Parts: sequence; structure tokens; C-alpha cells
Amino acid sequence: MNEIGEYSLLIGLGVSVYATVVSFWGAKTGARQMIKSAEYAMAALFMLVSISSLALVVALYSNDFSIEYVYSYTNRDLGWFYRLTAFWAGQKGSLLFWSWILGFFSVWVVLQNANKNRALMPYVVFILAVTQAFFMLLMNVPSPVFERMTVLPPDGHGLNPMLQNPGMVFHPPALYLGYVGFAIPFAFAMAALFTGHLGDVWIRTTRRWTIFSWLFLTLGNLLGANWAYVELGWGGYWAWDPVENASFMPWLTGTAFLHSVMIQEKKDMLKTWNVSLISLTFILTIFGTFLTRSGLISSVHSFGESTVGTYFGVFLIVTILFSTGVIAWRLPLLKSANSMDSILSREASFMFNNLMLIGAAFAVFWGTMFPMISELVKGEKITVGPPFFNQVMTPIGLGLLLLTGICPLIAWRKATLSNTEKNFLIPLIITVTGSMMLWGFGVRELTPWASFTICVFVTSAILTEIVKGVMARSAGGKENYVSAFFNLMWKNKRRYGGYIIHIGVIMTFVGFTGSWYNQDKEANLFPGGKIAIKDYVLTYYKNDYSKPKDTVEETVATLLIEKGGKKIGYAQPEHNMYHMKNMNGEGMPQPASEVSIYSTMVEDLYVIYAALNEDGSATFKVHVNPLVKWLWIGSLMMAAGSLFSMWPDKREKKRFEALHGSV
Amino acid sequence: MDTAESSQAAPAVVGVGGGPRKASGNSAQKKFLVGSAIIVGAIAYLIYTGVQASGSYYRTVSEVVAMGSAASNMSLRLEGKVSPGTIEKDTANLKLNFQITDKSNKSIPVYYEGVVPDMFHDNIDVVVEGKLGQDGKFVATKLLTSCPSRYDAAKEMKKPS
Repeated sequence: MNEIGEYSLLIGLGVSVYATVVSFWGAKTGARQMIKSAEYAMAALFMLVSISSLALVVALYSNDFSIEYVYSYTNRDLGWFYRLTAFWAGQKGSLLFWSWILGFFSVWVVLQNANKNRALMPYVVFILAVTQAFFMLLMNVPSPVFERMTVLPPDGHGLNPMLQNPGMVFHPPALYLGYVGFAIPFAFAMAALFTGHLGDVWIRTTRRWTIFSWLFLTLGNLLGANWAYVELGWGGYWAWDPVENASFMPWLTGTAFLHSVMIQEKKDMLKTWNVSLISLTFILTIFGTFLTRSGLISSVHSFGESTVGTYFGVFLIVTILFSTGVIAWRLPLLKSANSMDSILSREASFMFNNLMLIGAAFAVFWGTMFPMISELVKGEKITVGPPFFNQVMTPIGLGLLLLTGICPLIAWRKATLSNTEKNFLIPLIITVTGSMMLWGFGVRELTPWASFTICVFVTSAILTEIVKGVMARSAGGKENYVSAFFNLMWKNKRRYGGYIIHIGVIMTFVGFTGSWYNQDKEANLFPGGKIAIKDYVLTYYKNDYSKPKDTVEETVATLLIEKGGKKIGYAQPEHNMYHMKNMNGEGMPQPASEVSIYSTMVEDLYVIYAALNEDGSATFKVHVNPLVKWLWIGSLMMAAGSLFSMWPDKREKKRFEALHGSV
Repeated sequence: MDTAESSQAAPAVVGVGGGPRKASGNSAQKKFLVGSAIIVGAIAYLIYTGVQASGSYYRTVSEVVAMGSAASNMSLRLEGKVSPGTIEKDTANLKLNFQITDKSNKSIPVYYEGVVPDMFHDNIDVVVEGKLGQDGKFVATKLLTSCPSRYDAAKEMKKPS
């Protein structure tokens, strides 16, 4: 089986190179057979990668420790559930997984466009084939997936206990789906540049791919935040770690792209900007991978330095040069016939949104790379931590949120002042009332007050728009309010899907803002001891030790939680030890804390069993984190909104065919 | 999208196209550039002040020792090893004193208050962030232990077959 997996990858390398050459040749000469052959090659490649993936899965489930990867990431004790996550726990497996997703998407795109976009497709296949060839090269040369051990070890090293969390099943795949997904709109953008078909066909064709990728990148980031929150046990969910930033940057530029394409569709403007944005987004997905694999910037997630980093560095440079070159070459064709009509227009607010998103991405880049930048410029390595990011990103984030509210209230092209005033009237009344109520409730510091006030404004702006739409529909008396509401949403999926996403964004901002009021307290307790925080009192009640597996020791503390004098439940944080040993029986025990979270819509009581001391006492750290739950609810809302706006739409299809001819 | 939007957007739209469009386009462009400049300037300012406020310098133990009092009150990020036998732990009050050292055999006393990582013991590699006080004691606000990566451990034993 291992040999089959290995040879599949080797043949895959050949096939991907073949697809690259033939698709480009076919595109240049227009030879149908070549184009078809390249498309078949992509399907064959997907088969090969699938076989290889299957071989690795079999090896992971059958404890085949002759394979270095299986040895490194599993052991006999590992449950079946986490054997699957071991697939993407390490570098080699995650490269294979990445390639498999790309293969799947490629086949999907080829099938989707079997009778459409025939001029674009050869170039699309070319871009996807080059990317695949790169991954195939990685998996054959610097990072061979099926590399063997020289001696057969009796047991594996084991999966990092931190990765043994249900969140790890969803977080990496979601992130990869998002990362890889952006390759599709990028490939179409490049194809549009090559062929000179620079209208909005490539944008409309890839609209769902873009939303799909954005959705998964969003979920990937938020699932990562959730994993950090429940598993890493430091009380927070986002630490501005380089690897988090690496996946946040393409999210920011991808979000910008999602908005700016609408201007090209509406007004045929921003062509250069859009191809640049999608290229930048794709480049940032590669950059993120490069950052984590190269060991250039130290991070908790780092996969360890390896030559793969160098390969990614080269691929990164090639991608940057290639996309910049193609855009520069086509610059004359990218000139837009239209220009902005008025600063008071939805286009303008979209452009400001774009500028702020790019500015945010740049700030994150600057902060992440600052140790390197400062070393190059000043000869001194200086690091900026979370305070930098919080200080810079909070105002940018609030500005962006404000635009989310302003934007739908301003008309396209050119809004008149009187109409704009009318649109703003009701939301502003609600906002002023809301902000005064916030003040009354004691929200008096600028940042949280401003943030909640903007949240009120955006919510009221969106709701006003929806109410207006419902009123207009039901005005004739044919529809009642309920059916008017559903018809309004259903017949404008894209627009209202966007609003649903925005409501999700507001919820996440409510969650972020809650962190302003975070409190924490540490205490060293003997059984019977108490720790008080806010209106909670926790009493350390007992400690239970067990050894469920040979390699795992678990210590569970039980604390009684009282709130305002009333008993509300128990917290049972764990302090566990994992003994991961290598073949010679060496290796240090690795501790892993399991936090206990008592969560409500208002706040989370987050209890960490920090240490078990020699004198028999236990150290606990307790956090009270307000409004965190809104973050998770908000992300579900964003997912729902994305799905809603992606839902197949007959009217949209008809319009598209009317504009560009049925194909 | 077009038809979908029109019911909403139509009342607010005025004068699509027409004569004055070009002129208004130009002034709109100017206003847009001004707006953009403000945004770009604001972000640049935020980044600049952010770096000033929260930059922390990477230093080795011997560098800090060599700097003497010049290093005090500077935000520092120190990497080194825990000198064996120097750990004084006050578990009940969550206070910790130890000495950090590097290859040069120079060392600096470190004070830290808070939860001590499980892996913390003699000779382990640590990263501390904080400030050097006037008394020459480093007050750490952050204490990280770095464990030998299991990735490396696995690498030592295998050879390409």
C-alpha cells in the first residue's frame, strides 16, 4: 500500500507537469484535443492524489510505524477519531491534504465549465496545474510523504496532546478549503488577463467560489480561535501569533475582493484593482504557508524549520513576479471607461472599505514581520506584541464596522444629500438613544462605548433597510408582512445574504468588545480554599487522579461555583500529563490543561488548573470573559449568510445568460 | 443583482449619466483622493505610534549585562537558560525568582509573578519579556518555556531509506 501511495505521487508529478505544458500549449494553439487532454490529466491527477491519501489513511489506521509520518504523529493508544486528524497534523500530511483539495476543486471547475468559458479554461487549468506540480514536487523531493524509518519502532511517538481536541478535526480542513479555494478565482483572473476577456465574466463565474473560500477562511480562523480558547488554556482566543496573522491577512484582502468585485459588475470600474486584489490574496495564502514552514518568524505553531520553506519562498517569488508581470502587460486593456460619479455613493464607500481592509492587512504584515524589518533597517531585532495589534487594529476595525452601516444607506452612483439624510434619520435616532442608554448602563470608556454604539448603528441601519423593503413589497396589499419578508430575502439572496453576514460581523464585534471587561485572578489553594472573582466564589472541593492509558495521567479538580451566594454548578478543570516517548524511551512528559468553561450569553467563567504543587496545593487561574459566546454565534451567522448568498438563483442565472449569451 | 437592487436603490439615485457627469466625476475623484490620503495617513500614524509604544528589543543575556544601567527601563525580550540551583519558588504567593544565563556564563536575576509553566525547571530554555529594574533585577511580565521540538526528535532517528 505504501509503495502504491509513493508511486502515485511520483506519477502525479509527471502528470501535473504534463497538464501544465499541454494546457498552455493548447491555449496558445487553440488545439481542442490538447485542452481536453489537459483537463483529463487534472482528473487523473486527482485520482492519483486520492489513492495516495487513501494509502496514508490506511497506514495511519493500521499503526504502520515503518512510515516516519505515522510514527511521528500517532501511537497505539490514539483513538480512531484522532487518527484522522493526524492526517493533517504534520507537514507532509497537510501538503497531501492540500493537494487533494486542490485536485478536487480542479475537477469540479473542469466539470462546471465543460461547456462554458472555453476560452478561459485552458489558462485556468494551466494555473491550477502549475500549483499542483509545485505540491507534487514538494511531496516527492523535500518532504516525501511515505518516507520510511530505518528501524521499525514498536510504537509511535504520539499525537501532540494539544491537537487531541475535536476542534482540530474542523479547524485545519476549513482553513485549507479557504486557502485552496482562492486559487480558483485567481486562476480565472489570470485566464482573463491572458485572453484579454477582462469584463466581469470571470468575476461572475467565480463569485460562488470566492464566497465559498471566504466562508471557509472565516470559519477556519474562528474555529482556530475557538480551539485556542478551549484547548490552549490561557484565557483568550486570539494572540496575534504570526501563524494566526498569516491566515488573517488573506482573509482581509479576500474580504476586500468580495466587496470590490461588485463595483466592477455594477460600473465596470476597478478592473486593475480586482485582478491585483485576488492575486494578492492568493500570494498571501502562499506567504502564510511559507511563514509557518520556513522558521523565519518564530511561532507556537511552527512546523519546524525545513527546506520546504525555501521551496515555498521560491514559489512565492515566482507567483509575485508572474502575476505582477501579467497585470503590467495587460494594463492598457484594464483601463476603465467609467469613473466615480460622486463621493457620496456606495461605490465610494466600498472603495474606502477596501482601502481600510488593505491598510489593516498591511498593519498586520508590518507587525508580524517587524522583527525582520527592524533587523534589516536598524540592525536590531525588535518585536511588537499583541498591544501593537490591538492598538492599531481597534480603530481600523471600528472604522470598517462603521462603513458597514453607512454603506447600505447610500445609493449607488450618486446619492443626493436630502435622500441620504432621510435614509440616515431613523438609524441615527436609534443610535443616539442606544448610545445614551449604554452610557446610562455604565459603558463610559471610549473604546467599548464607541464600539457598542457603532454596533447599534449598523444593526439599526440593516434593520431599517429590511423594514423598508418589506413595507414596499406589502404596500400593494398582495403580500402580508411575513411573506413579503421571505420573498424579499429569497429574491435578493446576494444582497440579504450580505446583510446576514454583516449581522454576524456585528455579533463578533460585540464579542471582541467584551474582552475590554475581562478579569482574571490566580490563587494557590488547598482543598476547602476559596477564590472570589466578580460576583463568583469558587471553592476547591477535591482532586481526582487517574491513569486511563499507559501514556496519559489525568488529574481532575472539582470546584463548586457560587454566583451571588447561589450555587450554580461545578467546574472541573483538568491537569493532564502525556508521556510521549521516542524509540529509546526518551522524552519529557508533556502537560496539557483542560479548562472548564461555564458559559452564558453574558459571560464565560473560565477555570484553568494551572499547576499541581509538591506541597499538595493546586494553582488555579480564573477568568471572567464577558460576551465571548457572541463570537461563536456571530461566526455561525456569517456562515449562514454566506450559504444564503451562494444558494443557486434562477434569476441570477437568467440575467447572466441574457448579458453574456447562453453557453 | 441589477433588477434586485433597483427597487431599493432607485428612489435615491439621481441623474444617471448626462452632461455634468464628467465634471462631477473629476471633483469626486479629487474628494476621493483626499479621503484616501486621510485613511492612509491615519493607518500609517497608528502603525508608527504602535511600534513606538510596544516595541520590545531582542537581547541576549551577555548583551544586557554589557549594557549595564543603559538597559534599565527598556522593554526587552531575553532568551536563555535557567541557571541550575537558582530557582526560588514561593508557591503560595505565586512568586518566582531565578537566574537566566547563556553560553557566556553571565547571568541576570529574574523575578516573575504568576503561574509558572509546567515545563519550567533547571537548565530549560526560557524566553522572558519585561523590563530591567534599576537594581539590576529583570522583572518579567511573560515567561515562556520552549520545549525541544518533537519534530527534531523524530528527525534524529530516521534516515531516508
